[in-house]
Amino acid sequence: MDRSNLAEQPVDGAGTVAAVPVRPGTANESPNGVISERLGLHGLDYPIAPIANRLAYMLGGLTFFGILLLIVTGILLDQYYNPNPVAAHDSIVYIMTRVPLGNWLRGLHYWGASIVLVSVFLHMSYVFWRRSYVKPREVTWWAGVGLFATLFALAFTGTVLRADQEGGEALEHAIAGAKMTGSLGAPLSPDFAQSTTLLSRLHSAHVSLLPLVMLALIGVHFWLIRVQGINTTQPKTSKFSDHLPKLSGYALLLLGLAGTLAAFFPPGIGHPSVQGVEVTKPFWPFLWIYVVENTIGMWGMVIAPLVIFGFLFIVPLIDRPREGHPHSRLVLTIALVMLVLYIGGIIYGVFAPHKQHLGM
Amino acid sequence: MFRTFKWNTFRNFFAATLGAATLLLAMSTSAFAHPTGGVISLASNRVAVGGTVGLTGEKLEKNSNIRLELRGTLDNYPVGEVKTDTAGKFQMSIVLPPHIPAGAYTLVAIAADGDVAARADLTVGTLTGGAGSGPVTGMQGMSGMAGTQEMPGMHATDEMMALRRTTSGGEWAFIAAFLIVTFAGGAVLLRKAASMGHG
Repeated sequence: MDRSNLAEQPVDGAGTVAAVPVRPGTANESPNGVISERLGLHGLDYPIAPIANRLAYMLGGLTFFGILLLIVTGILLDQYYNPNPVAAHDSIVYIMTRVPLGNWLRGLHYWGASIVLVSVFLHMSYVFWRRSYVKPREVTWWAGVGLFATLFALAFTGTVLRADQEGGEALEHAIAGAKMTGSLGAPLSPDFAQSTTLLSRLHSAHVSLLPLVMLALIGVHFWLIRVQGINTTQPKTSKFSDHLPKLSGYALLLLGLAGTLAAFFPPGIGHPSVQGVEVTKPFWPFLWIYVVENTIGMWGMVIAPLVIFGFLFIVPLIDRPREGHPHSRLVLTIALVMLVLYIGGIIYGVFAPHKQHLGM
Repeated sequence: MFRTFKWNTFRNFFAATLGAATLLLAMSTSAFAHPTGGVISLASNRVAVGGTVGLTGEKLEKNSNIRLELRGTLDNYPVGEVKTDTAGKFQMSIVLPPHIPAGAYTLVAIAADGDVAARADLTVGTLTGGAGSGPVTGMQGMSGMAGTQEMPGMHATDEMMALRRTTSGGEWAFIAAFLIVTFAGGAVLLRKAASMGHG
């Protein structure tokens, strides 16, 4: 008799008695094994270099976890947000004062956004320093630059949605910038669609268009990293499934940091916007643009991002790997100058006097 | 899971589920059978603060008192009462209180039993500047921040609003539990990674 498909049940300590028929493959399976098999989790056991377990190599992953936090909190906040221009500001006040945990949730979203922008900046800086944009990883780098730009666009649209004085001034700047760029800026014109308002369209961009673009770029970015591996000569003696617990640990600590900041330093909201005056400064990641505008006028708002993102885009094209030359001196010099101007611009912008740009 | 497949057990289970679903549906039809479908119509969906707007109602409960209320995001404002005729209709003009802030509201008709019998959307603001969700003709720059322009005596300021944002004890308890779980979970995972030699 073939007893291979039979489970044996000991009875009264007298030894096995009855054999119960068992379905093939179900005997002695642990819960973890059952889940892993059905979800294909063994696919995460692919080899990676052990150097990937260092924090510096996890900045991209931490940014991704931050983005997940923004998606979850954003979906919850959007249940209460009203994109009608007349009601938008009130709906945020409603979230802050009448929705259970609404104030903290909004704080999680705000601080989560700041943490994501810091971590993506650090991640890009480290990738740049390691020259991980060289062949064959140019497309990975370009997807990353696209993600960086998308995150800035999300930060901008998120500011506008507040519909307070800062949000209103941000919107006026964007409309003025769109006018300067002619037909390229048409979607940012209030007259682009007579059937709806610009605020509603920017809300739609913030909650659907930009997240879809971001997720598509993340897909490309992750796929290429999976296929090409990270930029290292170390042999792949570790596994990605071993990398995940450490990454998740850091991600939870960052989540705790965001939660703490949200609880004790919740973001406020300005008064409803009054048109035609500038009395606020932009959200901190945009202060460098504010400084350029102070210097050269409204065109700074168009030129500054073009210069920085344009440089980031062409870096793989102008810095080709050469024997004995770890870095192109020209590229490194330009990058350092931009880094100093970027960080210096943000710091200076905090203390710079208020200045009227619209109409300059 | 199922060590032996018993057809009778499955059939009985299926029959019980079907019976329960049928019972639930039957019970719910009583809710659908409850008379609803009252309608109120405004002469205009945009009214100035302190302005007057015509209102008609139909398909409401006959010969009954209806309370009218403006429900906004932050507060509700009673605007009057009316009695329906023998056909369940009424016609009247409502005057908006002068103190209500400009914004988007829902005008609700509340029946004698307290249920909302009908509703209509209403935007309160000044008529110039497009206070509402429609096209923003006549608006410049702010494209939809119209409601703020009408507020008399309003000045632009970079100050934050002074809001009463009280966090209840239950909310603090949830936040504390969240922080404990995230920090402790993070520490545990990092310890586990270190012990596996990946630290």
